Amino acid sequence: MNPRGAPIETIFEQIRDGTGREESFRLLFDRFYWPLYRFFEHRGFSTEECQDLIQETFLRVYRGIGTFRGEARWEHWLFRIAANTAIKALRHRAASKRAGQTVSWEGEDIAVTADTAPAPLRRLLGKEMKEVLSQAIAGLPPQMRRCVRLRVFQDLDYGEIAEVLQISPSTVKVQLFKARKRLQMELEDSFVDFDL
Amino acid sequence: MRDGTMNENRTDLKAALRELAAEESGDAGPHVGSKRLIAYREGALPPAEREAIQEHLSLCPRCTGLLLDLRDFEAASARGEAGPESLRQEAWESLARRLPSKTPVVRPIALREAPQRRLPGFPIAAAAALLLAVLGLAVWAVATVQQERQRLQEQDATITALHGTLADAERQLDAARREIQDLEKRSRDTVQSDGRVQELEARVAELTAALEELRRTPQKKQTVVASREIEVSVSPRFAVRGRENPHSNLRGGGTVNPVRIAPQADRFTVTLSLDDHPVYNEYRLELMDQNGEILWSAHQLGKSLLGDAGTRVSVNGLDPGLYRLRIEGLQPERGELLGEYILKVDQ
Repeated sequence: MNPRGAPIETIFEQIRDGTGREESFRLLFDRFYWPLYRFFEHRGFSTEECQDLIQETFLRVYRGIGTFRGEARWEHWLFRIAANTAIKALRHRAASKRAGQTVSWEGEDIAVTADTAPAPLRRLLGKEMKEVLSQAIAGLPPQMRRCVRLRVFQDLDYGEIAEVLQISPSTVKVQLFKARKRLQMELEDSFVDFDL
Repeated sequence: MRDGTMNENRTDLKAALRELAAEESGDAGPHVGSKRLIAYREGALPPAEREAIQEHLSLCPRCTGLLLDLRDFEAASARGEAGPESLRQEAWESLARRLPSKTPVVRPIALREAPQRRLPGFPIAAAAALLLAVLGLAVWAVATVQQERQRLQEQDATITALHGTLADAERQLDAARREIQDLEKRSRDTVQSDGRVQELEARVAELTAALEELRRTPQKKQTVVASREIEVSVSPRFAVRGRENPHSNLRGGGTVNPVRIAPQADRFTVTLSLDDHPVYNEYRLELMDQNGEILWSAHQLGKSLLGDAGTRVSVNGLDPGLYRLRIEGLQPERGELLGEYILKVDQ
């Protein structure tokens, strides 16, 4: 069997019982290196930061592998460690910036983009219009409202919205169509384009 | 909203909603966290919590992004993507240097540097004696070193054996944990099944009791209502109801009106309207004279097209005078008087 294709359970057994611990750990590393790299990269880290964070993640795995009892899926356990590592790195970077220290994590503030609010927009809405619009959105049925928010606020496509809300893409499409009709009926004098 | 001021600023809905989002995103509440996001993705959360998370996700790009990253991570893991070899190798080499060593390094005693001693400037004899002593000590030291080595080897072997035993124990422990989890799961299933059985049993008992009650209830109602509601008609000229009249001199119901029968008639028909109250197993009609002697009786009434029961009563052979017609409903245990009519036979 291709070692890279060995079952995770077998690799874990080998790591735990100490037989070929490092070799087995290498198998684990090789198998999940790239998914982790893509994760950190998508979180906004540079290549060098990704390399460091992957090492940090696997060090935590190595230290904590004895505590993993197989109650959760191994991939999820690894993902949680990686997500916590990313959060820790972002905090470290933010703290360093606040303290005026040299920031060890390179690159621009890209990793924080996921946390920040949307970029400032040209002010289009008056106070009254904001209330009307807010009420119109709040008046939509929950699933329809969530579809609209994910589509407009977060710029997700149908497939991504379906993934987030655990419904089918065709349902998303129908919900957005209905939402557009409802909002058009309520706000027809206020907007020139109702595309969502 | 529909005034002129707003129409001056007409724009597209999407842009307006995006501006609104910048303000609403602060209402999203605390972030979900990777553990709950994983549980949400696994479909392991109760409906209310699932709804709350969906509401939060619609307002929180960070948690939505993390959820989509989880999806991508699972997909990339499943595809077995390895990435560029050079980057991976570089990361591994750095990592391998940082990995803590599990097995402690034991330096052999023989390799330890022994402290150098200075020989004192004693006389030769003393030096010889000392040399002998030193030689003795050296022999003792070599023997001790050998013993120590042997002891360490034994300890290594013991440690190795203990490692093996520990690994076995851990494997057994894991197997036991899995078994316990299975048993707990089965136990939960069994408890749920038992609960369901008990629930069903209770329901069956409840339904049985209700059925018994239903069986009993109509009988009571039949007894009470039927004695009051059965419609009795005597044709060809009169139809009277069997409702009791307090001014009647008849017992058990019926009207006081005497039933008039045409002089030429030699018989009349009694009909019980039973379509709404088929409550008695059988009905008995009796024709009695003034002394209470039964002149005629009928038990099995014929059924009419309308579901009524009835029979014909012949008045042939009856002398002029007053007679009583009694109508009774019969149950297996008892009978009940439904009506009594006075018949007057004229010349």
